[in-house]
Amino acid sequence: MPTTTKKTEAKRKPNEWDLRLYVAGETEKSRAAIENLRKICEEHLKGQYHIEVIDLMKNPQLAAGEQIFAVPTLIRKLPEPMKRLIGDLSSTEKVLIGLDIHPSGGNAKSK
Amino acid sequence: MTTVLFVDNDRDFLDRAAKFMGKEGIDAAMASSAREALEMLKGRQFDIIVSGLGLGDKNGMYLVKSIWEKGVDTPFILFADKTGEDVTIKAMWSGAELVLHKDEDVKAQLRELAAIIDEIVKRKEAEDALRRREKDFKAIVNSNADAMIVLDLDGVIKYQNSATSTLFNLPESEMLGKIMGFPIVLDEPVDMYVVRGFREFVAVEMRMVEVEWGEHPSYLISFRDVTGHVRYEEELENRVEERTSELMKANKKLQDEIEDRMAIEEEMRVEIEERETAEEELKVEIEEREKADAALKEAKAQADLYLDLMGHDINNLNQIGIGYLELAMESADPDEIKSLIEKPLEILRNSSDIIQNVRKLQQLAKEETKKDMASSIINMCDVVSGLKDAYATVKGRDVRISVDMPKLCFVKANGLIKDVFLNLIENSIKHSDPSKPLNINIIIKPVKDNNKDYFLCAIEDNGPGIQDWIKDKIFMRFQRGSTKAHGKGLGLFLVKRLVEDYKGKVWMEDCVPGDYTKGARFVIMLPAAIK
Repeated sequence: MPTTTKKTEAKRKPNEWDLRLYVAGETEKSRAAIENLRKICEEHLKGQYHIEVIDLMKNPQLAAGEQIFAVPTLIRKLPEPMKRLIGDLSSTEKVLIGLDIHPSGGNAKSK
Repeated sequence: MTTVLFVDNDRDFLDRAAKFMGKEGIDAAMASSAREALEMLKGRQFDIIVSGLGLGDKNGMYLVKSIWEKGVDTPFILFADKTGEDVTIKAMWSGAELVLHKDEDVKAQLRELAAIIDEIVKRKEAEDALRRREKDFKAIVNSNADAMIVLDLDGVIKYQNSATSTLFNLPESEMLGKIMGFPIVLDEPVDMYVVRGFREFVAVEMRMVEVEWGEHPSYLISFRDVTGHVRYEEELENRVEERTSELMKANKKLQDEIEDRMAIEEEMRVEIEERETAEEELKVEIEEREKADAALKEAKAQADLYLDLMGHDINNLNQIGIGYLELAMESADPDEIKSLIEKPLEILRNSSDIIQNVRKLQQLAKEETKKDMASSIINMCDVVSGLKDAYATVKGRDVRISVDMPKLCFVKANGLIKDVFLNLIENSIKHSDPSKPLNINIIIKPVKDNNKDYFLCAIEDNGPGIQDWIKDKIFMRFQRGSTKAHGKGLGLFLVKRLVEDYKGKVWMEDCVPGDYTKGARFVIMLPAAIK
């Protein structure tokens, strides 16, 4: 599973989007979700995002802490307020709406 | 019909209200005091209660409070002649829906009141309908075996059915009000995993519809446990993989077998081919051996023939000759001696002829094995012409040979063609009466037979002829294998052999058909050649 290195809060740039994707194992669907998320971020948040992929099958104890009821779940930690998405994360349009990402630009400040 | 309870100690107002409301189609009941109103409310329900502030014993505030305390949620309108901010606030706190100010223009106010009543009733009906819908909705959702959850637009859990607690293995209190997430579902159900009890994973299908919940746009999502289905699919996949693997192995084995068989078949085919070749060679060898055997038999038969001829005919002739010579030895008469010597001389000539013919037959046999006999193109007319000149004088005989032929008559033959005509002429001379003149006519002419060109040569004489019973035997007196060979018939046998080797035909006829005594005619037909 290609996870990115978790940055500490201090090292994170200001205005950077902090996204966490919770999945269950390496499946075609989880790969599709990860790939789609990367594409969206590259296209609309270039240089301003950080994605962390957490496999709950490897770290099930993290589910309770974050109250993850189902996977895949995508959490926008930053910018605040926090947002959560569950379901078909391969749909670009819906993910943009759910995360409140405005297409190409205008996403620097938090809402 | 809408029912309204008017409570007021102003009788006049009550009458006017009753009349007005009656015209508006509203069923108005009247009570002149709070107590009376409460009594009436015990036995009957109203859609709206309109009460004045001052009611004699108790005031409107008391009435509204009492009604609320009893749990009656009928909308209450305070129609007071004395209002102020504090009255309004107090009334609202007590449970009044609305506070209206009673003034001079009662009619107008009653009209306004009627409109408000109508509005309130409609709103209540809508609320009741909504409540009923929600009740039905909850009944359906609650009884569903799938986990069903209502999420607001932020993904917060607003409602869940009992199946949800079972699926998630969490009590309602640990889920309601928590954020699950903004749901994204397109046309098809979404394959997901529920993190049951925050520990284990259950395969589910998530579906979603947009609903209104508490008058707010919301999402009703369902989770269907498809673990069994997923397990079944996985098992099926495994089985398919196993089966595919088995089939591939079997296929490989089969292919290997096929290849082996093909190799064997190829070997067999090669072997069969070799055998067929060997058989062919054997066949050829057998044929050659058979030919060799046949040739050997023929050679043996010929050798026997020649032996017979030599041993029998020539020997007989010699004996006769010896007899005549012995007689001559004993005679003293020179004329008698001369006559006696002439016989053996002729006999010796005959013996010589026999030997010559045998040699020619032997030569023929040799040449036949080597090549085509008709190897040269010869002018037959020249040959006949030469023979005519050679037989111009025959000692002791009156022999006249006449010839009727074209200048050129080319045929395919060889050097022995001369013997054909020689033997026929000699045959005529030998078998004729020596005391009579012998006329031999030789006629050669071109003929066509089956669209092919030939030369027909007829040699006829005025000799004694050949009887019918012997005609078909004269050429066959030397049939192979027969030991009854006669030296005199050898010449005609040679003629037949030669003509047949030249691809021609020979036969004999009577000069005068039906009367053999008038002479014999020998006919030869040879294919014409182009020089």
